[in-house]
Amino acid sequence: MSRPNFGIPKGLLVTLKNIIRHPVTVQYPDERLVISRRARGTDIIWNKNTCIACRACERACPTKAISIDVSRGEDKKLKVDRFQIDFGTCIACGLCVESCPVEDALYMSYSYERAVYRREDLISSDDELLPGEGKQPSGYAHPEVEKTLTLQTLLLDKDREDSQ
Amino acid sequence: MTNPTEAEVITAIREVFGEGAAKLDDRSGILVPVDMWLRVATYLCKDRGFNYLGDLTAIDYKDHFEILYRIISLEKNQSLLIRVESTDREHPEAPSVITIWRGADFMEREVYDLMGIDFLGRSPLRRIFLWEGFEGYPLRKDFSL
Amino acid sequence: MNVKTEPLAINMGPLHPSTHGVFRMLAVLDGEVIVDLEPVFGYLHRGIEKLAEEKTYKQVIPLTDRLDYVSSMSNNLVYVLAVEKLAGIEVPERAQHIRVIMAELQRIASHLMAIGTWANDLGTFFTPFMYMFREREKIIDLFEMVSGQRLLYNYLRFGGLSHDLPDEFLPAVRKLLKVMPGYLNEYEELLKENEIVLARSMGIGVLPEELAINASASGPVLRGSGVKWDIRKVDPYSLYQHFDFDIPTGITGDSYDRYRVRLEEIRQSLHIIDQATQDLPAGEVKSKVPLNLRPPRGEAYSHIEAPRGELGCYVVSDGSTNPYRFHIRAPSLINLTCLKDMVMGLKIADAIVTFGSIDICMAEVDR
Repeated sequence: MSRPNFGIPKGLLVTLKNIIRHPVTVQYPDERLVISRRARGTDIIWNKNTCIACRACERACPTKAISIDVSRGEDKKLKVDRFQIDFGTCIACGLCVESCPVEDALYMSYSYERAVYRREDLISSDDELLPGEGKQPSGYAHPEVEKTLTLQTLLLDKDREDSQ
Repeated sequence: MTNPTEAEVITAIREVFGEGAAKLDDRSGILVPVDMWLRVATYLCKDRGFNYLGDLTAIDYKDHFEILYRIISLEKNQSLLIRVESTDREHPEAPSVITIWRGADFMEREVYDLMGIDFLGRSPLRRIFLWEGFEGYPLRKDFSL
Repeated sequence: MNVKTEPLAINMGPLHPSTHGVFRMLAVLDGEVIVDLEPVFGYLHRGIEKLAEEKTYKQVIPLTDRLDYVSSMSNNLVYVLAVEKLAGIEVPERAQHIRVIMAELQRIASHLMAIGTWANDLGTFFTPFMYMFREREKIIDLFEMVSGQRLLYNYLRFGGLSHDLPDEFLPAVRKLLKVMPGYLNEYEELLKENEIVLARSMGIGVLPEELAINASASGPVLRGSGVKWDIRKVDPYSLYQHFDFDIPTGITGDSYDRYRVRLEEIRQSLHIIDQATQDLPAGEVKSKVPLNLRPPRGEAYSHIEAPRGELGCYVVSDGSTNPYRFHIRAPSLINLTCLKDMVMGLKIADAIVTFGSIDICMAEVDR
């Protein structure tokens, strides 16, 4: 306010400086950024062989998206008859993965695209949840997986420390 | 933030309003009878410097409703918890403190909307979040989802 | 000449472009001057307080994310503080430091958004908004790195954090601390002396000190009116007493003062993060907490200085696995109490500016 009528040109100078700056956006889906190594993606990956059917994930789920049917087999061991997740109600909070007592039974996925035509298509059960093609587990609550993934791209990396 | 010794405030309230005006609650805070609350509140705000209403909420304890006022003195950096009980299950009532603390306006409307406690002495309460014509008060324990 | 006009009631919203969500203002106008105004809300009411009574203590943490989705970390913090007080859980020092870093990064991100949208309400069509979103994006990147999501972090746990920081976090924060002051100067140059901004915001939406206190305003709205009141100073939590920072205050309590307070608070937050990262102790980030937490009978209230004001959380336990009562003191809702007084006698366009300067999040207002 000490120098009246200077405010607008000063502001325009900032805009001018920003016009010549390198753009910060990328052209999705042609260019993609690497997401966090701990990403809580839109899918949950379940390993049928290591699951001990304790139902901890079912109890941990705040939206009751997971439903499990368990029965006792002939060898007196618990086994899972049906493992179903409704991704329409899943809020990707990750509490199920955290609560899992087994080291390699439940993972959040590393994917972030999940669009379907019908709501029923969002309900996945049994074999659809198994690890497989295009189902990269994320490092959320699994530090050993986290180490193997590429580092996340940060917008901060585009800044030069001496630029300002 | 320090709590003034509740005993000290109780003694002060009792000196002005008589023996029954304040009681130490065994959890924390001061229990004030509902019919004396408005006068005690005026005293606490004007004479004791509790000029800021931090929070106002209510709890349904099934046999009675408890309304909690968390009042703060900005100068002395003290906070005080006041409990007011309303025992009528059908039509719980409490005096409105909106004339003392303007900030109570939306908080009282919220408590009315979700808990069904009527605050007297202010413009008629209307629902604030739910629509007009909604039946029941969701935060009461007998309202099941 | 004294021209008489009929009062005209107009209805803005529930989704007026500049009303920051599904908010409705019922304004009665005399010509273009506001003579009465009533805020109407509830369009986003999800009944979180009731929902929480049916969930276990841990399951409420993702619910608190959804209160004020622009500052989820603060909501997480106030809830875990309340439950820790209730159950008597100790938090390791490293986790406390990281909580401070997260809360302050969140404050920067939230204030950037507040200033950006407020500038938008003034009519600066998206230029400052986009600049500020660029810097907010850098902070969101950091949150994504530690928690795995960009908006609803669900990062804090009772007794600490869900995970320790990744190795690449601290260098990134140090870099942020280096570049951020330059960007803040840029924003100041852009808006601070701009004549249009000054004309539109100085003396507009004045909230006098007495009314601000009486109407329980908090956060930048209260401090903009000149009251030096900050929960981090007056009732320290999470080791805030060990950090050195100032409380910026305004003088007149108008929209411009609130903008200045927010900008200055970003600088102070950077200063706090700088101290917290420098002496970050090593060690555990989570203390042992039973899987199915059952706090003893009782009640606890915690309050923190969230970006929007005093955020309080009140939890009552009856000894079972889910809270008996869960209450949130929402600063966004309570700050709206004096909106009517602030816009009386102003033009309708000024009401938008005033409303923007209060900086509310509808998800927190309605809960």
